[in-house]
Amino acid sequence: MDWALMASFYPDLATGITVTLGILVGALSIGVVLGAVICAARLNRVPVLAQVFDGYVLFFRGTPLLVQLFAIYFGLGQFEAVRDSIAWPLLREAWFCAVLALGLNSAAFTSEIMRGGVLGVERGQLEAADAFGFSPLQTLWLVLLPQALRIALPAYGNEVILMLKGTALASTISIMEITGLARKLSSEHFAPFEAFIAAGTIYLVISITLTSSFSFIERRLV
Amino acid sequence: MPTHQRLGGTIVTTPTPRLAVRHLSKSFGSIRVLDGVSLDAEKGQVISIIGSSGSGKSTLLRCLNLLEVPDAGEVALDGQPVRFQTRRGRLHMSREIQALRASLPMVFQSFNLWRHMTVLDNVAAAPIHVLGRPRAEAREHAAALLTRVGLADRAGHYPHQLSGGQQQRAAIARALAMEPKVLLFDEPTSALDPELVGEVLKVIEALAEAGNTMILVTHEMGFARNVSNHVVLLDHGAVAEAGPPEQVFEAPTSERAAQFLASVM
Repeated sequence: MDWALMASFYPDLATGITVTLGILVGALSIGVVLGAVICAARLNRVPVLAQVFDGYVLFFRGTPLLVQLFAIYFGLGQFEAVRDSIAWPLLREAWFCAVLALGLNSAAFTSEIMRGGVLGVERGQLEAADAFGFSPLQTLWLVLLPQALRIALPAYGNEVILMLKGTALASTISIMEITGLARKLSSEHFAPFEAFIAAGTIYLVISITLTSSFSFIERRLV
Repeated sequence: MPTHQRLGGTIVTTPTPRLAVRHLSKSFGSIRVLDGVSLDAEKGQVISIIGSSGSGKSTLLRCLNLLEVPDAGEVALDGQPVRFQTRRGRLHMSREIQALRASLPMVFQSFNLWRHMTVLDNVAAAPIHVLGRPRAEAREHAAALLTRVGLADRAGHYPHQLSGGQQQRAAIARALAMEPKVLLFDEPTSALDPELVGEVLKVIEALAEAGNTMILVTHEMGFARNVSNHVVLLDHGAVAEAGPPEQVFEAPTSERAAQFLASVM
């Protein structure tokens, strides 16, 4: 174990932090927005949409993230319709495919977390809002969402950590995020242990920061 | 709907009841929970609805503010019939229904204080968001109401930090904040530890003395007798006996009423 070598890896690896966090933030954004749509459609049993999303959630929860990433990055390009579409300039970019795959995957899990949060709110809480003349929209904003958020937050914190670690898969499609850089450094210096342990400590610092942020918010929300 | 009576040649108009319930019926599936119930609440009157469990007491109360949708019958507030529509069996929300509910706030058996709000915010929320009161004014009024129910020092607490009796008193303050036309109580002491029942009943009693119109579903027979000036005994969804408490409790005319009273007194 060459500590000095390991220490020398950090400045290089640090350049990958913004890439990792960029993929994470992009994926989580897709996950929250699409997850909310999926959750709303499934809870209200919107015809067609609810069934489509049932299948969507089944697929994205039941298959490996790496398979989903490969299917999107390597797979979509084989279809002419995709290559001819206006989305192709984006879909042939590795970073976009990484954000998309992680985002679609996160949406499936996030929708389930949201569903658990909404269903976890006691009926009586909503009934009280009804009984005091709140409109359906007021009940949603003033009672249902704040309480569902509180219930869902611990599970969502977990999802964020899982997604952070999921970003490492982006290295398999040539993206130079933290893990990609660690692979490069490890082969350049023939020092895989030093390179990957250094990368691991960076992930650890990020996830500890995220975890403590979530527990701080949880405490603030009573 | 004022009724006209001829008395020695002059027409006397009896005042419109605050709340008039006519022939209310409601079934859940094949079970008829309410079977043509009628009831008048005059302004300032305190009505207790009693009866064995499953007799339809809570359903009757919940039909008044449309938490349950009656199948047939009419409810009128100050002579204005309550209008509503259903779509696919569910109540279609309207401003009219919201306004009705705001004037008939309910105190629940399990309190149902909004757990993510402080006690003060619980009391001020509906006045701000439903009645459109200015925030500062609503909070000031809420604080005054909390003082009235003996919770001035708990305004900043969250519901889970309070005892059951305190939560129920806060829930009563929340209902009072609506400046209600009728206060609805759905078994307000049934979820409380026995030693906490008294403090809640005391608050309700004070409200009765202050002239609030109230309809209570209750299992507390002694309380129903002392506080209310009209008692309705429901049996299998129909009124088995109704009248002043002395009459209902001491000289019931129906056999079913006599049976029920013998079993609970």
